[in-house]
Amino acid sequence: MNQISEKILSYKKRVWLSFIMLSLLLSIFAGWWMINRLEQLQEVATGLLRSKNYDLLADRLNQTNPEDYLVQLDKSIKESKKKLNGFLPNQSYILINTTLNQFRLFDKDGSLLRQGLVSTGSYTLLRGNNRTWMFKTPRGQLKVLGKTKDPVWVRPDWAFIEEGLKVPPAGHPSRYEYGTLGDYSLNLGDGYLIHGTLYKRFLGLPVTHGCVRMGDEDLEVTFKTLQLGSRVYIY
Amino acid sequence: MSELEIKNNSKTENPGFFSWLLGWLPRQRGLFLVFFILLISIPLTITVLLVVLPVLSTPLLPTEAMLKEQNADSTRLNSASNWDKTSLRLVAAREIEQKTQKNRLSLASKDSIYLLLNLNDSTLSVEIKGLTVHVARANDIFISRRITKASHDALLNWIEQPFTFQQELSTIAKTPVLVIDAPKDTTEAAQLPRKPLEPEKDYVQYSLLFDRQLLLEVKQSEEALPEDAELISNYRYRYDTTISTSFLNKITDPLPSHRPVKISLTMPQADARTIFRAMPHSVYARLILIPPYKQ
Repeated sequence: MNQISEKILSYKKRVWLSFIMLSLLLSIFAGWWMINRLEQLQEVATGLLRSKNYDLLADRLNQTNPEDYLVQLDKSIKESKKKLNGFLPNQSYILINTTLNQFRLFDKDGSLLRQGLVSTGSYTLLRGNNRTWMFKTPRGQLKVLGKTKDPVWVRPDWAFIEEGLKVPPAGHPSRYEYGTLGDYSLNLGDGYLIHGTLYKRFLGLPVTHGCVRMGDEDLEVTFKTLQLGSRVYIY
Repeated sequence: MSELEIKNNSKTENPGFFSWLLGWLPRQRGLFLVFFILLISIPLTITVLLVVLPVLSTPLLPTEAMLKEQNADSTRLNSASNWDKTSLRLVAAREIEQKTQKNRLSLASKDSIYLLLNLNDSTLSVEIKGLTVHVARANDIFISRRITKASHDALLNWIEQPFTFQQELSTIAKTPVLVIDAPKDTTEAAQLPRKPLEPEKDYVQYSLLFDRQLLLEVKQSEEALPEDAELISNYRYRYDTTISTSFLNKITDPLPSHRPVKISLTMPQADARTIFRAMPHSVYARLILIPPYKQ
């Protein structure tokens, strides 16, 4: 009889011990899971335990005349907006996305006139003997500084170096190429142009030496729409 | 009785081990109590010590601590007496708008490309000299509750100035530069390496860390391709080692004051890529944050 009761007791002990071990293991696992997701839990807790308060704002308002303060705020917002509008273009402009190689042309009211594909700088770094050239399109706000019909491309030094050719002296006939730039070009300064291309299959891809290439029809509309001084936003 | 019915009956008569356990355990009251107490002990301790107490005691935004110090000596007025919450929200919204316009104006007057993150309509825009040149609408957005629950004045101080870029992690290169050496002759020129003539397709995900602990995470909404797996795991590894805190640190300092205030956006790949490439990756890169104020 004693043996039987001892067996039952030890059986009970084992059941208890097993459950204690199991609960501890589960608890440790839950703790590990929680610590790994501590940020999410703290986010939830922040949502539940913290509330947005306007106490300091109320204090500030109680120390001033509320109506005056609102008028002052509105005036300040209006002034800032007015000044900001002064930076906006007052004639037609063009946006050029160098990542997607796309353009959008707008009139002076900000209405979209045309959009399409362009080719921009390839981000190739050419290393010569003493010089390097980075073929990238400049970003930011530029202006149309000049407009040319039937432009002639005066090939710079890199155009020869890139092809493994000897660089001719300035003004040498081999520097002048006719028809390469298409029917029109718009000068953006520092040698950068918006012009046409013979390689229309590359429109939409970054393949140029820094200039912006456009398809024939897009270029014609852009040339006719943009005036001298029109803004060109490149990003 | 058909064979099928007999089978069904036998199923109901023989419950599984866990069903049996769930029935049996509550009957063993002592054992059940010990089991339950031990089970919740660690999660409960973590909840109290690492979640609730830090959340209640730590300032939500870096500027909150500063404001607390400033106002520690001043006696609180009977504040909301003249102002109901709706009016306060209205004024708060105007104050945020005022700061935003002021910041836009200050950046537009400099020659810079900057980002404008509007949490009210979930858009991230690129602006050049005050003109919005690109707008990306997020398909999905996560805004840390540290922003939405912060006191208005702490939030206002936090967004007072445009945020300045400090650090980045990304799956794509800022400028995918190909370096080539000048060829000696035309034969060598013909063999020069060229960039692939097709649009980039790499998976886009990046984290931009700004000053005042703002962390902006952007990832593409399109699903990743199998060949991007290594790129993504590499990014995650770098993220875990630079931005995330270790397991041990989470225990010793559960809510450190330097923890980033996170905003995550999911948007089309083209937009995510455009924004990453458009922003200058230097101390000149700025971001204007418009926190949620519309009710």
